[in-house]
Amino acid sequence: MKTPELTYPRLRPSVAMAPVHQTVDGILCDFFMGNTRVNRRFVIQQDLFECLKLLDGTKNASDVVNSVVGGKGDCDFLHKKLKSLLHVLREKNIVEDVKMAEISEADPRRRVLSFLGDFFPDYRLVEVQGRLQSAVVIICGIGGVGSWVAHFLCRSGVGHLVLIDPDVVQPSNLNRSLFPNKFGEKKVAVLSELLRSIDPHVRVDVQDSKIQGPNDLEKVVEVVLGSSIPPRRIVVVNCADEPNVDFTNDIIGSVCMPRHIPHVVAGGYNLHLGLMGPTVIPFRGPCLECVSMSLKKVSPDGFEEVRKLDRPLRKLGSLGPMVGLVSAFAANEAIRTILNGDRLQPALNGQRMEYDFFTGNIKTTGFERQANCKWCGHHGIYK
Amino acid sequence: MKTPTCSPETFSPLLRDGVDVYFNQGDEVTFVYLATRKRLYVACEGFLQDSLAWLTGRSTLTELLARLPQSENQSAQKKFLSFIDYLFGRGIVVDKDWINDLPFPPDYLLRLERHMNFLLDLCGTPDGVVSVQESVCSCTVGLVGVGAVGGWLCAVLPMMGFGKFILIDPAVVGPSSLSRHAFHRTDLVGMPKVQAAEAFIKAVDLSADVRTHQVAVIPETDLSLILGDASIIINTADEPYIGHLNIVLGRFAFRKGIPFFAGGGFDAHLGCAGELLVKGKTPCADCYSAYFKQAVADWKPVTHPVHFRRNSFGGLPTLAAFSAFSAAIALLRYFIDGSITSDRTELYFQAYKQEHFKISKRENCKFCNHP
Repeated sequence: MKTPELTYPRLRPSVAMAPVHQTVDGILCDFFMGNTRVNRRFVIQQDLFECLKLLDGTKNASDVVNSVVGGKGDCDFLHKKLKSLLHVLREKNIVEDVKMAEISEADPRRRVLSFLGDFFPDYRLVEVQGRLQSAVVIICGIGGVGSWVAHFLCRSGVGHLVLIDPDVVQPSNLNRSLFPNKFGEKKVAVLSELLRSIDPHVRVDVQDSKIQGPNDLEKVVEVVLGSSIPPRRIVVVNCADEPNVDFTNDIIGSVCMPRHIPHVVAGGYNLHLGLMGPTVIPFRGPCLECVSMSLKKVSPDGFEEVRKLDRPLRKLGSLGPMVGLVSAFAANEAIRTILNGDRLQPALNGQRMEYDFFTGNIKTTGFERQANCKWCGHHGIYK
Repeated sequence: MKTPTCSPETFSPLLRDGVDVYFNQGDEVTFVYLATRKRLYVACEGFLQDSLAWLTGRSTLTELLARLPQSENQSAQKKFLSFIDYLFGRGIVVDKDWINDLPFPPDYLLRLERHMNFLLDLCGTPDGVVSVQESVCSCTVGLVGVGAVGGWLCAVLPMMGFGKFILIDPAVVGPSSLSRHAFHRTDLVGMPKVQAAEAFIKAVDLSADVRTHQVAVIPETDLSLILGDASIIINTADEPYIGHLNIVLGRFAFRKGIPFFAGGGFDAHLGCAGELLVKGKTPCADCYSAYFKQAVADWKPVTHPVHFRRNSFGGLPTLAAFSAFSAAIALLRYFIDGSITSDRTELYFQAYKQEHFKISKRENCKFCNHP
């Protein structure tokens, strides 16, 4: 793809430029990207530094050079140097073309686009937004976690959501789920109506039956694949924990792995510990079976040899903001997975994360692919 | 509140769901509190160990006593009663109807059943739960700024049982609220944000007491008129300038002797967890401001060539929500045991790493020393 002309360059408004100190070759300069708190450093020659201070988007490069040199110096040479520098700074998401920026700023999701502008150059943002709009996210379970995930993805610009849940809205859902108080109505119907009231353009498909085995999910996935959506534009998010997350992970993994469909385990919360991830990009990192094998090798509580009191049907507690927090990361992972490429990748590919209620700290545990994994190992059934 | 010793005929012992039980070799049983990972080791006879499987809440204590070995009835009964009483005192056993016995309205308990279970894991006893939730219930939250972060707080605070709010924001819902505000719907564009937020709160809790002020907090604002009866103030507004607002609101809160939460989630602090400031326990807003002024004293950005930049900062709804959820969790921690993490924490989106800034009270802080 040919890079569009940088006609009216401007320093991105969310980027701060700060000289650090003078070096032999020029000014060591920080470019602090406010959206992501990423700092990039360059040594900039003095005359170019003066040019950058004028990048307000109203002048082209020649005008900028003329303003700096004032007809006294070698305008052509400085112009060449500036164009070359602007090319580099544009690729590093520091400089943008004002015409491109105006397109983003006129969009109702301008905040999202500006944020993604920290990862993608200005001329790619329309395409990036298109990738979100054309992606399909299948959310298995829209209870505590799933309702939030759907909400976040809709607001972020994901264009097509598939909601799967058999339940109806109950008063006891309201301590952790984002449903209006339409008690007794199907959750999928209530949530799809809500999402359309947020964005009338979002496509929401629903299935109000339970996924009890791979066949149930396969049917949903095959319908999506049948509409010519490539597997890499589909993400399945597991927000279902009945009868338990291991069971639903098994189903999701067995459907997604052979079809090369990325999937995210939204997790949940094991009392105070909000669990998040992993994200699986099939065959580009550990799969859910690899993670499960790794977890079995670890014995964190030291009780492996001791009899445990069997207690079925436990009703564990939940806290609204913990559920929301887990969901926020699951939605982040779905977005990152849709946009997966050289500039942005899912952070939890092969990682699981825990949020500690008591400290607010996040702890990450990494996992490796297992050579003897029965799914993706050397002799794995999905290899 | 029912107890094993006072009401054995009606007390139906339930081994709390938030506790795991392991039978070690010999006479020892280990109870693991899942919420805190604390362990309690208890030496007890075999029949007492066996009796743990009975604690499902299906039988009253009197009925369970009848199951004990008849031959050593008297002594076994005494030991069993004492054992249950001990476990009750340690927050391992509760009555099966403990939630319904809590002193809150039935619809409140129905909505907050799972929340109460969560609190029980943290507080250990139903009395502890009551104490925390009564504080939550009676708290009037003064929320300044009902935008990206404040909107998500309007979602989660009612979910936690907060029911009294003062909402302050001058703005109206706009088309670009779509990607940021929890309460945004297309049909609400043009409505004052405080009104949209009020409706959002009442969708969770119809009986919530919500007062709204569609005004900006400016230097001339008489805070006592709009926030006079707030029990806590949360600032999530960033206009006209968040540093100034935090100082104004923080000073007001300290003078009133109420907690102040400075929310994160704006501009370069999208994933900031914010900080809870409490007079006598933490540095004040002035201390924070001075700390960060000093921290960036040597970092001097040039005047940005683009003058109007207000609409150009980015963010994902998930990051604003992260700031809001962190604030809500910090408040609950404080309500549970008064604990405060006065560090400022920033979340980096790239790898979800956190950076912590340790901020201390400044010896020469003019406000701390002369509030």
